[in-house]
Amino acid sequence: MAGTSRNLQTEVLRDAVFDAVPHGYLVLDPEFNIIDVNQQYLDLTRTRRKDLVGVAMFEAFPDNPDDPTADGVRNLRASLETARSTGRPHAMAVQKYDIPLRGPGGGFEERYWKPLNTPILRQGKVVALIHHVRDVTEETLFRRDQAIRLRSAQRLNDLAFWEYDPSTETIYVSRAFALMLGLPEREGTIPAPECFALMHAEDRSNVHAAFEQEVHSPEHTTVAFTHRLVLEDGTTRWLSSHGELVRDHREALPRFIVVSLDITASKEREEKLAETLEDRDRLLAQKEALLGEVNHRIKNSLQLVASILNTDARRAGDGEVRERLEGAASRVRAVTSVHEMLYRSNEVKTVAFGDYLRELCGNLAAGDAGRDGVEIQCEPAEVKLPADKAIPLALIVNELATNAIKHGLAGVPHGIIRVATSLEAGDLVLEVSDNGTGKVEGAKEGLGTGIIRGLVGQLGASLSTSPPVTRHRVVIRVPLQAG
Amino acid sequence: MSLRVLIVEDEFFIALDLQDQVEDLGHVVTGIARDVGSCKTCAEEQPPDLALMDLRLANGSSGIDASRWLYEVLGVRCIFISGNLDDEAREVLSAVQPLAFLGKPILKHQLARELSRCRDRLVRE
Repeated sequence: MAGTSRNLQTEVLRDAVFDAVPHGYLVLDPEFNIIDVNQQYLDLTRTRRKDLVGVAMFEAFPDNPDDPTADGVRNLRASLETARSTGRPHAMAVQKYDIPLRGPGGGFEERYWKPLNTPILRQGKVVALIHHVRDVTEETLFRRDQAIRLRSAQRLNDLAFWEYDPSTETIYVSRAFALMLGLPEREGTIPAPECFALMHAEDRSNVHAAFEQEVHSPEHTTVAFTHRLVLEDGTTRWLSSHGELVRDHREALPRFIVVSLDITASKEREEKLAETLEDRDRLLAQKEALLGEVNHRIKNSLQLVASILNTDARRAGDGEVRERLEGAASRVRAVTSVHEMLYRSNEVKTVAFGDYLRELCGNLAAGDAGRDGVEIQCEPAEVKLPADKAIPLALIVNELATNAIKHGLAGVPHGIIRVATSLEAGDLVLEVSDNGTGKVEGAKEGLGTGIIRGLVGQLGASLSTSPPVTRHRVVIRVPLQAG
Repeated sequence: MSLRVLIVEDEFFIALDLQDQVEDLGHVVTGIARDVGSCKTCAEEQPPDLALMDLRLANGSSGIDASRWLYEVLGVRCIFISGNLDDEAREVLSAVQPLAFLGKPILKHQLARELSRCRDRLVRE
């Protein structure tokens, strides 16, 4: 009795264990009818004992009719048949096997399983089969999503994943990385030297060093390097690679999981940009030099013209012709000076007009004015003017000063000419005044006056004169902004 | 006292203008040379007190070479006609002890001033 009682006790305990184990178990007879099921299995499949016990396995769990690729029934049957015929356990690969929802809505729920089918033998004969399942839905879906993310990233960004294992000197290459290396588009493990051999010789040691210096670093240490690939057809690609260290065991050499990005296009853009910038700088320097040279030549040619006028003037004898030729020579000199300043200042397009005016007044004072005892006062504003404004202004000052010396101040003791410029509301205001008598009443308008009017028009400027109460004064207002 | 001036300038009209101006100022022009070769010939025939020297001469020759020859062989110094000289050119020219630099446009009063300084210097020496 005691023995029976102990057996009973053991059986009760065994039943309790059967229900409590954390995995699902289903017991089948050799014809695959369900004999028994534990609680975990009922929970996993959301079924009730009475729906399963006594029912044929594939009636209780048919294929999902909405999934045309469903192969759960076929694969499970094959596995069970293998276990039954060989008398040995058979482990299935991860299997998608949707479970029917028993309820008003019906339908199926997507599930992944890791099944193990084990035959129970009595005297060498299979009397039952244990169908043991582990629900791997969550991790399978997670892995699947990860894989999708990875593939999408690789497709979108020319990204490729690979894994370097220094302990075996092998590299696992993804399809994308194989493609990047110019190898057959296949994922798999290749000897590391084969992969390193494809790197540009100058970059190889850098890549090795990047890995070697982190071999003893803690997990998640990152490595990063840029290197070139030399493909079989001779083309060079630039890769930017970032990786992370993983360690399977504390003592083992780590592996490096690396992602490489093909940056050839941006590298090429970068190089092209640098080249373009260099070209631009060279062309700019060339342009400046050419402009300088042109100014120099213009200046020389103008000097030649002034010399021609000078030599003609000297041979014309005294009189109006000589005076006209000297006037012309003086105008040419005024223009020549602008080109001289353009060349001298290293600024090929603008003239420091303050300096220019001082020089022009100095020359006038030393020349005609000096001869006639006229003082020239110069009060210029420091302003840079483009040549197309500076030249007409220079000619205007030359005319006004010459007119004053020759006419306005003729016969005036202590003649003073004042040349001043100032900036007023974006205009350059030129004021030339003298202490003479102004225009001789009723005199014929001279060439000088006509020249001044023409140049004022050319500059889009305005001219006003004031009657000589104390001084004769001409004010010319030149807008400096274009338009 | 008037100076004997050699003009070394390849543009005929500019040279003629210079000659007029120098003579107006009461000096003597010993010759007009267009390049290094004619500069040597002129200077050997009639040694000048000084030369008015353009830096760019005919036949690709340079006023620097001409001035060096004048200075080293005859001890003649130059007034250079070229206002815009970079530091490098000035450095090179310092070997021949330039008397002055005159820019273009050539202005009579400036020429007069430099020639009169030269005359004073010659008188002192």
